[in-house]
Amino acid sequence: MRTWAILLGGLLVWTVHFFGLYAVAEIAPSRIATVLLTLACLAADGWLLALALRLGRADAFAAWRRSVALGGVALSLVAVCWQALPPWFSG
Amino acid sequence: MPAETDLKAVLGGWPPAVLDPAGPYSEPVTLLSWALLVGGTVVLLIVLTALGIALWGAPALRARLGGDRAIWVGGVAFPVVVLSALLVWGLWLTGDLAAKAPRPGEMRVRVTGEMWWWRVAYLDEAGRPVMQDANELHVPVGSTVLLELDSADVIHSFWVPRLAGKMDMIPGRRNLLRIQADQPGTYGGQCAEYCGGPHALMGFAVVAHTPESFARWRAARLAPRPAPAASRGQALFMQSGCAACHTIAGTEARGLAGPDLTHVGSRRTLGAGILPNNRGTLAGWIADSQTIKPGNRMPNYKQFDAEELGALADYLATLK
Amino acid sequence: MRSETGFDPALLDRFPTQDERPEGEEEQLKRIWCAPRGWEYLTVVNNNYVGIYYLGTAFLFFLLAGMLGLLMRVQLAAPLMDVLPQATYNQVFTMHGTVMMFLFAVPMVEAAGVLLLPQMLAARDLPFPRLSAYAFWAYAVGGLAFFGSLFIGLAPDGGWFMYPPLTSKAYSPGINTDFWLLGIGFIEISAIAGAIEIIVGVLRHRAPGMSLDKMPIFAWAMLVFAVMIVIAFPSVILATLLLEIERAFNWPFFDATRGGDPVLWQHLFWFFGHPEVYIIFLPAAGMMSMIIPTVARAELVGYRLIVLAMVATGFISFGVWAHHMFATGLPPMTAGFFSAASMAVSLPAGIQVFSWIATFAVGKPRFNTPGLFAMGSVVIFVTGGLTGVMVALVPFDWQAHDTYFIVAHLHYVLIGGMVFPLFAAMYYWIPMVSRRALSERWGKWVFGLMFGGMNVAFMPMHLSGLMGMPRRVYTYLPGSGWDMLNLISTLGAFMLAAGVLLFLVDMARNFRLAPDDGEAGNVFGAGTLEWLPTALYSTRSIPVVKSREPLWDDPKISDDVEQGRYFLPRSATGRRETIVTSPLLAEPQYLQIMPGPSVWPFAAALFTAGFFLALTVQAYLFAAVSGVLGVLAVLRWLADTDLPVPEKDVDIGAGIRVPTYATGPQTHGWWAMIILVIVMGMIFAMALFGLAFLWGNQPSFWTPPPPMTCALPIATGYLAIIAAAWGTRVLHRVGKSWAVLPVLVAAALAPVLLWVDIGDWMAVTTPQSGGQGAAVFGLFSLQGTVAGIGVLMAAYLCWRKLRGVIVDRASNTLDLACLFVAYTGAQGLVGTLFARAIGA
Repeated sequence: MRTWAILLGGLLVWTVHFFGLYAVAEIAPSRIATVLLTLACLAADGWLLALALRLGRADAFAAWRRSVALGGVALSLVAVCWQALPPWFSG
Repeated sequence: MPAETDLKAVLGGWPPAVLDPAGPYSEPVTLLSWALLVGGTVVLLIVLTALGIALWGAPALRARLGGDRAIWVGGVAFPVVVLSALLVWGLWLTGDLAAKAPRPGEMRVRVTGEMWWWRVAYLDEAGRPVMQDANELHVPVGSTVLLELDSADVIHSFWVPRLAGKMDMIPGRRNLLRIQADQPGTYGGQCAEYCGGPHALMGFAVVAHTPESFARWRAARLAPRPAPAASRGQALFMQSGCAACHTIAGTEARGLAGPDLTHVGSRRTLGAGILPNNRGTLAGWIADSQTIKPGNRMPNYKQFDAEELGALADYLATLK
Repeated sequence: MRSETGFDPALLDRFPTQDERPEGEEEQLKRIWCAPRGWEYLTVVNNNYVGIYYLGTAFLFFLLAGMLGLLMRVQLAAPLMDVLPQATYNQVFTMHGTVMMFLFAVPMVEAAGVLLLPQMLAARDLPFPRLSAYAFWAYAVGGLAFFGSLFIGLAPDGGWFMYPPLTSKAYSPGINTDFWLLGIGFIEISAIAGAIEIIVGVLRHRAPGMSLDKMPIFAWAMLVFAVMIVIAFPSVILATLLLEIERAFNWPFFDATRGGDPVLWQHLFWFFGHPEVYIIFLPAAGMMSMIIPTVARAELVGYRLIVLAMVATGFISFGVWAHHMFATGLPPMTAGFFSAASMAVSLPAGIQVFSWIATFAVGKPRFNTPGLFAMGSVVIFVTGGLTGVMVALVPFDWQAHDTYFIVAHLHYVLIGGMVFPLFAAMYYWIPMVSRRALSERWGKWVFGLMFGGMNVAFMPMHLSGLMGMPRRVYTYLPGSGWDMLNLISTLGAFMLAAGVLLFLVDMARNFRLAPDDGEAGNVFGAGTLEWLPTALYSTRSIPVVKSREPLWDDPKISDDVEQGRYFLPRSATGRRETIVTSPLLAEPQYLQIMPGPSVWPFAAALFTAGFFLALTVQAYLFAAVSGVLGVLAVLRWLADTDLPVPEKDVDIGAGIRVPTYATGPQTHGWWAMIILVIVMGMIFAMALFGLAFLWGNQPSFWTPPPPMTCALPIATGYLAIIAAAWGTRVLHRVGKSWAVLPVLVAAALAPVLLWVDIGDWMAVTTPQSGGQGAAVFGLFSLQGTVAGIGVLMAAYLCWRKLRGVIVDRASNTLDLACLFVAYTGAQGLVGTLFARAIGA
């Protein structure tokens, strides 16, 4: 489980962010809520980033796991930032 | 031939409607479209060049392409920059173009999608219908018009590309769409959501007038209508069941199932944007609409002979 | 990470073994995995056969749906043509889309997985061979019957997306729509069966040493593909179920005049429908990532990034469904989230494209047929991807949506992203199963015609769309300026078809199935395990994997494998068997005994298909009989499984011993049950979403639900079910053989609780009275189904117990029945509380 959590962490954060935003927009649209959610998810990504950077690279599998985890966090950061934009343009 | 020009009301022709905007609710999208089309072509050429280099390039060039760095630059960094810019543009435009509540004093029209035609009701300030029409919408040039889009049966989609993007008409919901035409003229549209049967033959026309001419048109429409002189065509219309489905204001024809025919004689097209409107097509439509537009809700009236059809067509043509 | 299961990795260094293998081992394997004869072709379960059947059937549907496409192109070649009457055209375009998506694309890639995965992972077969056979037969029979509806004019005509209210009883009174709903709903069951098979196979049946970082990229693609099916397909299964119930019993889920909402259908459909595109694309991309390194004679550049890209696609593609609904009047903020996610999902695609280009760049690319198709695929797919970015922008989509621009876009994406990789794959892998490779000379013609035809057919559609031509039109008027573009498209379509025809001729000339032996082999010089010498039992011995391209890195491996110098060079128990390994590092865990050929999966599939077809034509008695026979056939096939063997543990090579029977959370059966429970849970979760959605959008139709306090006894009852199911497992493990009783009682309690709950609700509303009633009783219907299956499982468990087949304290059948009954309780608990909370 731990390895899966490391591999998928960044993308799980994206998932929480996306569906959280969708719920906010559908149930009670509020910019503040989206900002708080985005900050929480960025913090989670930051924590995952720090965690992944500390992972060992001793053998091929560990090195692979580390780079997939880092890549996942990187994609998640981009996608979360993009996702944070719409509330500011919806008038 | 006037019939030919009338049919220009239908969608199509050159230049492509999406790239030939006629108002402020389509023009920014055209700019975006051009940016996307040109930008997309450039990116495609870049990728093709990269592929070409990978396959046939000089070893030094190929070496630069062959590594994780090239993937990060080409597959991540470059798209992130381009897509960020596009996303902001798209979001900004979305917020700008999306219609919310009516503005004070704005002209409002309710367009209801029906299988397979459009019911048009011009509304007053309070949103009450003041006049009825079908398959054609008259607007003044230079001011915005708020369309309330409803559906009477299945999902349709209202689309007049030179004036705005499309918006679905969904049972149980009322969507809003704002349009504005900057030049007088006729702008074609067509139902864009598959609605069964003759969905392909569900056209629409927006006719834009100068403000003065629009005011005259509106006044004429709202003026009380003198009872039409009794005619053979009128008699046939009232006796043959036509009145059960169609309304002609000022007569006992008050059917609501089909298009309002009070002004049918002045429409650009027949059968929802598919035929030019003249005596011949009127007669042909009455006799055999099922061949012209298979599956439409109006039965064929084969019982009329040529003379009766002519009388009916003459009568309908007088309803301006 | 040194060890995952406590297995000492140093043991793997014992291979390849040096001593001679005893005589007769290979003959024994051949005998156990013997080829079918005569009618046994209907009872085979081996992936070498089922995979080929599957691929052949899926390709047949490609040809059929392609012909429908040609018919459409003829009709649209000029304005007001009269080749296909309106009603026929509407059926034809509906069937073209439906068959391509549901009967060709998904089954085709799933079939490729069934055929290729065991070979690539060096497993003897997929984990549940009988389930594969069942899934195939159900799909083949159901699919052909569904397609047949076209010949009697009863094919569905509501579009492949089947939007209500057009597809509701009021506007589609005929049974055409029911063919779609029951036919497709049923075929999805077989897709899910395949997905379970693939997930467990990829994670638990890899050759020892093949840790996740050494897994062939196609296996990664299939893993993500299968997980996506598990998450996405329940949504469409639920949607079809609800619409069929609305049509049959007048429960107004989608009827806006009675508190339903047609937009709910769109959410449910596209929550499946967009991931579906990636479900089709990912396996094809996986094929590309296997073929391109061979074509370029170089290791795949950016393997890690591609794995990341595939997994990321799997996630992000679930955040884009509403980009099909931008024109439905979504609030701009919501539309914006979907637009942003649609941008994000293009990043992984870019990563893969540049990885392929980089791989070409480092290697020495060959311009053979698989290579040409791969290169052509990149060009076409990138074009489609770029128009995809365009339509991800809401304002542009408002113009392009539902026009021929979208038709162009989706065909570029799907032909570039799936069909071209598939043709590359056929040229590439056919030597693995055929005595002769396909002709390189013909192949270049096939590629040229298809590539040219594709572009000639679909490039002009971008323009006809921008000129205002809507989709799904059976004709258009003269004078619209679309004539010439449409004519060109039609010519291109025929050019594309000529390429496919040429391919068929080439197949007829050169394809000679050799499932047993004598296949053309590794003609392209690939490096992965599927190119080891194989017979029906796959490889003679199961190699230790030390790299991603073992055949390139260890030239002796083929010979060593063939000489039995690796794992399991014989049948250790005299039955069909394979090694189950751990999910991360692939350390050997236990030996799985696999079931052999059986007529029961075939019979079960026939009866299931009969059940659904009979429902469609409203032959209810026949349906009931067929349904019961189907269930009995499944139970009969299960009766042969989960039987312990006399040998408790066996030597699987080099003195390494593993057990022959394992129970608990580490077993393949447990994993499969967990996945099944996730599927059921997803169906239920989507139904909960439906209830909440209707409440949010049609609040004026809402009546206050029964009070929460009345739910307390029911909720307590459901908790008791969970506890009893779990208790059974614990008690049985400590030797209480009467302990099957608690789970039996628990299973029987579930329908009772449901009955009580229904009683409470009947006082408030009825299923026909409005959207709320329909949605709540929809939840109850799902709960009733699950409870019924729970009762069946518990009864089956008791039957096995009475027969004396469950002798050990730990039993898989017992575990799995308990798991399911516990799920029954959990779902009931959530449902009863949720339904009362919404709108309370």
